[in-house]
Amino acid sequence: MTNNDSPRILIPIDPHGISRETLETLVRIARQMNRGLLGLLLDDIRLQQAAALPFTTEITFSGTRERSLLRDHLSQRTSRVTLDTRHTLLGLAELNRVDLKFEEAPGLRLHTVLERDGHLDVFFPSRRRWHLLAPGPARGRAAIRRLGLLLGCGPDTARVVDAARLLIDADLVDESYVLAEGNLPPEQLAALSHPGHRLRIQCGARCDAAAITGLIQQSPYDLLLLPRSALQQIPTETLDAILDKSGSQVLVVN
Amino acid sequence: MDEQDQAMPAAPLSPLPLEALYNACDPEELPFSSTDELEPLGEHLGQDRAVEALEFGLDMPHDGFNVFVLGSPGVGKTELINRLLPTESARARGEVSDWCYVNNFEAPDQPLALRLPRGMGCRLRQDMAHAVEELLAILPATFQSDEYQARVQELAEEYQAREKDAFQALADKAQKQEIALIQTPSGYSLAPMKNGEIIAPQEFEALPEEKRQQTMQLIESLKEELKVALRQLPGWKKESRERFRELNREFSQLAIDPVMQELKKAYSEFPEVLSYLEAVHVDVTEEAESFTQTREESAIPENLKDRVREFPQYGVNVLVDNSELPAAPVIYEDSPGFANLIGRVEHIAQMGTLVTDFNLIKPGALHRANGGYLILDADQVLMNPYAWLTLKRTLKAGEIRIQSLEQIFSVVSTVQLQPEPMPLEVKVILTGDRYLYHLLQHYDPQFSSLFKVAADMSEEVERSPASTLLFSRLIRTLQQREGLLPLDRSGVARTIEHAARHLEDSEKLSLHRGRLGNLLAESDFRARREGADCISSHHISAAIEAANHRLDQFREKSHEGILREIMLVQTQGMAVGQVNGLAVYLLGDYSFGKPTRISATARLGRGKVLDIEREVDLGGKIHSKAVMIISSLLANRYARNQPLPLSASLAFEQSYGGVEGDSASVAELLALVSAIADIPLRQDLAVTGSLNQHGQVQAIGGVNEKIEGFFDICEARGLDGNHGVVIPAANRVHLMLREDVREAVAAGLFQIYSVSDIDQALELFTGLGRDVVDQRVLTRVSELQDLARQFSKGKGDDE
Repeated sequence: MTNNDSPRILIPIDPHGISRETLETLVRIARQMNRGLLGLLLDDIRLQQAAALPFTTEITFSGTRERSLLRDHLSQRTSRVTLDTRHTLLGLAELNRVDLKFEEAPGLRLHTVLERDGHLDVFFPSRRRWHLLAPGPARGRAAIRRLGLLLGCGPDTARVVDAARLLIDADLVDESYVLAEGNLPPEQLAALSHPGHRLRIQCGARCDAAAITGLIQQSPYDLLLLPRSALQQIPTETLDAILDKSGSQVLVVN
Repeated sequence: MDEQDQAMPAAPLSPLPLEALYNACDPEELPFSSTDELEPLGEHLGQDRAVEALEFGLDMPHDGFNVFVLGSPGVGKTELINRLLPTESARARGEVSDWCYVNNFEAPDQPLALRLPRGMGCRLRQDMAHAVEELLAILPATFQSDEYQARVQELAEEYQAREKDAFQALADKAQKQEIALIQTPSGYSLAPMKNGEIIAPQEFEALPEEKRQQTMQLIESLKEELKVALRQLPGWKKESRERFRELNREFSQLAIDPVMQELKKAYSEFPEVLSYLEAVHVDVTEEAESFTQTREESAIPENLKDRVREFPQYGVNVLVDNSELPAAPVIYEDSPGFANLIGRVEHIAQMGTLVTDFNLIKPGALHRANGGYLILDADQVLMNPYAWLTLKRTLKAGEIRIQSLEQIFSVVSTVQLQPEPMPLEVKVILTGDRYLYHLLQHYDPQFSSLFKVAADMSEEVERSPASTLLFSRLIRTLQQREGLLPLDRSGVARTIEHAARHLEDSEKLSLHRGRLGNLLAESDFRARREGADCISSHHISAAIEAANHRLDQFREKSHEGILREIMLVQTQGMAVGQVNGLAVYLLGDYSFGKPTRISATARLGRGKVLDIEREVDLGGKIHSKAVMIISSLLANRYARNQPLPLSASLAFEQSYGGVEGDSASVAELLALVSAIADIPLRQDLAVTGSLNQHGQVQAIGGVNEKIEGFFDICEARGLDGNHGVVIPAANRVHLMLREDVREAVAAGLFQIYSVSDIDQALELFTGLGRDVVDQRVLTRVSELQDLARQFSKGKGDDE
């Protein structure tokens, strides 16, 4: 079991909720990486601001109904979603013997969690709403069918490779797609090789802000492993927006 | 008897000679020393009529010519059928096929029946299982392929982008007017902005009224656009799901089509199967996702085989597999209950509920016999509730419709199947005794139209040198079949004699194979116990005696009652109005004779003979008829032209059970004449025989047992040379008396007389000639007439 002193993976928990499947994947990742979890309970600042206005309403996805978005109503819904997520995560962590703690950080924006002290990896859940579940067993298939790795875009590439290797060795990954800025060093290639696991390498990847922004938004992977340094050049507003709409789960390795 | 006969003095009646009492089989006349030298009997001894009928019935192709084989139990009905209908070469009545039930995908409660050439049923089952196995291997791989995953991703991204574009355009438009489009956990919201940030409530309140109004109008306007955009989402969802399904179908077909095409090609000659495979193809394509639920262990081929069971809907229930049959099916169903005849649908309990499907349909005897022959015991069919009705209905309809009794009576509410009826082409052979056959003929109007052929088994065969030899070969057949010791010629001779005795006919032989087999088996047991290497006559005799002895207690007790004079039977001297009659008791296979006193009284009356047994309901109809015949005979003989002014009474003394039959008629008439004319009758004789109105003595049954019954009593009391039994002359051919009786006759201690008319019997019992007896009777009648006249006159004077 991970203990209190273990490095942790931070997961921001906001009113938009996180699916149980995503939380299961996160806990399995944490266990394999021997990390604890830190659930950071966030507010959606813009949503709070909008709800503060006396006339704001919400048009729902289901039924296109218009309903009040008064602060009290929003608070109730937010609490319910947060509580559900918290309960699910607690249950999964206990089951997998992963240390878990929660912190409340009202007023914090998504990008700000990247700036917290400590060796925290940060897991951003996918916001993709269009998800087509292909036929086949969920259980037999690896938790992460496609793992994307961005390498060579900063000094912390080795940490990304280490994290990927742990997941691959634990059979959590079916296929890995390495996006490398330059040629992949042989030792990294060896680290990512595993019997029964498919590794695809694409050299010449771009590491500029636009490319990384696009990668996060259009990510075709189930999990995208990024070094923290790769996000530094992206403006914070943009970072908030793309993390809020990421196409896949993103694990930022610190 | 005509006048000329009456004029001639009657010759004294002689007892029957010893050789008339037993038709012995001389072992020396048998042309073999042991049955081992004989060929087993290849033909059907004495069953020509039954064989002809059975052959006709089996060959007759038209409907309703089913066969009823009549004969007593043990006469060899099944053996005859087996011989004429060998399982290895029975001729098919139609095409012998395999029959299967398969799922009806449109109506699962009405499984479809498939007819396939012999051996193809199991092949189809294997092929279907193999196809499912293949799909279990191929489909998961198909759905995990890169190509498929890429297409799914592409599809998802297309809609993701479509939604994003729709809302991004709106968000951009709103932003230009300083309105923020914000995603909430369950929808979207619109809020005014200032300098790129959501405006604070106080700031908004501080805005000029006109500006606030303008902003609010703008928000309302954008809301409508937002609603329009959001309203598109369900449509896109539906569209995406449909395209996703289409994508899945496309990939499923890639995997499924080759498998199914191969199957269809293999069964292209069978339109029904082809039609079924088409339905399977459609269903598998629809349900392709269920094949993709792979498991860790699925990589092992054996586990895939196990997983085939998870798809029972694609199974093939081979109801009838005739692949191993060398000829048409010949089925003997010894338990022809309702369900065993037409099959049944079983249920299994699941979560406290009984469920079923076509795989749980079980065949009945009619399914297995389809295209061939079904042999049933008629009494078994009739005793099983609804079996007879079902058999008739099925034969009449020409199809097997599986239904349960619960279904027929609507007494259960569980899931029930209505399997498609199977066409039936079968020849049913019922076996049963004659009584049953005639009962069915009489009471069941459908019987004669469904069982048009009666194969009547003979119970006996004429005794001749040729038939004796054939009978010896029959013994050889049974010996060989049962693994018995051979019989020497004395053993065969004794067996032949017993066969005649059993039939109660010295000139015939019983063909009852069951009893013959039992006798041989017991004799074999005794011979082996003695260490003999063959069965001889004394083994046969010992077996017969032992079999009798086992059931002899009742006879002993009965005779003991007579010997202790509890039952009054006089065997010496003379007496008026009483005679020794002879009764026979039938106890299943065992029978014995017993003397019984018959008494009569006569007095003035109106010419009526009172049957006391009848009056108290102890007399049967035949007995009553016999008494009426006696009454008529008396009147005709002694009072043809005038009234017979007497009343007589007849009784079986100490008879506490019923009396039936007419075999005591002679005894009753003797007792009556004795009572009327006051003539004493011999008590050392017993008599049996029936009478007609002309005084002729007619044959009766059980003659040997009756003689032996009286002999046993007389012998126990001491034979004095006068004892004997009077029997009808017609029964002489039936005499096969016990050895001790024959020895007593040979020693002159016991006599058997045969009589053909009542006068001979009267003479034997009274020692008087007919004229004397008649004169004494007429004198008495005349006295009674005078008395009657006096009585009438006195009565008239009184009036």
